[in-house]
Amino acid sequence: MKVKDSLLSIQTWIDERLGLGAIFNFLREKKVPQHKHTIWFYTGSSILLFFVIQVVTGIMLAFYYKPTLEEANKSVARIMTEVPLGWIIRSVHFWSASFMIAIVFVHMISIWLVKAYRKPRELTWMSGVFLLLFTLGFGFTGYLLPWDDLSLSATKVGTDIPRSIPVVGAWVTNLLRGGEDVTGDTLTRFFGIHVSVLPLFLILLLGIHLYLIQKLGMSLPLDLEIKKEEVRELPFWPNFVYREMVVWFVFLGILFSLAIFLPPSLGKVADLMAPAPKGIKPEWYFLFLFQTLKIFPAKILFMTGDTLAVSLILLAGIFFFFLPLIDNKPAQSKGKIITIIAYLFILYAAVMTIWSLVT
Amino acid sequence: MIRKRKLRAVFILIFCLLIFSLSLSFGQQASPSVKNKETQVQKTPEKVVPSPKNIKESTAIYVFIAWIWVSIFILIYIIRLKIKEVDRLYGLKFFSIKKK
Repeated sequence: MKVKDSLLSIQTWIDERLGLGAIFNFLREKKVPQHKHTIWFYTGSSILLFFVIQVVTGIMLAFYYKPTLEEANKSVARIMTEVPLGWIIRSVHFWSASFMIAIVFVHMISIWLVKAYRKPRELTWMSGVFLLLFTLGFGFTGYLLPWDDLSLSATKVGTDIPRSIPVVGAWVTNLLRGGEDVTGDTLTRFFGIHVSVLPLFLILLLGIHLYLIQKLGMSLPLDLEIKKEEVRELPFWPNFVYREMVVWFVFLGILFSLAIFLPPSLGKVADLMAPAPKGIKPEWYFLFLFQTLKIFPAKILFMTGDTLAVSLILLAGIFFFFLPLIDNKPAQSKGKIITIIAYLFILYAAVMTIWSLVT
Repeated sequence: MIRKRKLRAVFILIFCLLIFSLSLSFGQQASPSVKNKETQVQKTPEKVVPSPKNIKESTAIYVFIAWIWVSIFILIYIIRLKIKEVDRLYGLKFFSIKKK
């Protein structure tokens, strides 16, 4: 009884100063609609889970990693061979990144399909698109850090793509590389972006995104909006959180199993003068873009194939970002064309990724 | 009910077989050379393939992964009971009565 009383007094002491009670009350009052699409709601919290894992394992790796030309590859090799369980931490970081990006894609596509971006949730969608870009930015910058032959070649190809953007292309490439070519400066720059710039902006945007979700509430599927039926709701705390925990535990189990049984290896140290090895490919989440660039011929009419491909990708990105403004119909409208575009995009990305993997 | 139990048993069996087969292939991986720290610093290996350094670490990892999955199954079982309970209480409007 004494322990319970003292715990209660500590809780009261904290609550009087921080006002956490209001937050807990809000979580208790918050309701989650239950319908056939509720399963997609679990993706949001799973992304957060993997982000936390990324931060924790990333900090642990940063204790030993040295972002210099001479030391980068050696320090990663040291993490993998000398640091106790260092290879598992690196492997968890690697797999957790893949999980996070995969679930971000699923999250975005599910919102696209259920049209949850419509009024009044336009800004939630737009902040989500930025979060997707930052997540991909994490993957892109993190790929160079082991500084092996594969990561160097992939970064050379990746940073060369913006060069095809009309007018500002060369400037963007130089800005990314910190010069004309990929060098030690690029490595330091990518490390800085990976561990400070991106986390800062991501946390800031994540705060805005979560605030908007709490403020506007969770959307309902179109058919329920049309019928205006009363939807069964569950309290967020504890009913929905318990359900989310089941998903988190399953993901954690799969993550640790993959990290232990399929750890990423480390190639030989990158040689700036060596030619690019054959068959270089980016990480799986960039493969569909990579293949898109590959299928374009060298020259089409008055412009190069690369310029046309990059311009089309940029246009698709702009369409994706402004989707809530393009499809600004009332909630009751089904928006079949947008749904068809979403399915075509999924099909295209899947076909391109498989094509890139098998060739 | 019996069918569900059978399904669960089959699932657990497949899962155990999967872990066992993965562990066999895992054991075949070449462990990186860590004999001499000085030579390692001077000469970077061609390709570092991560794996447990010795039998002790290897055993610890298998125990760890088994412990993780056992814990997950137990936790999920407990959470399922908790979900049933809180859903029942919500259905009875227990929390709203308490608030009043």
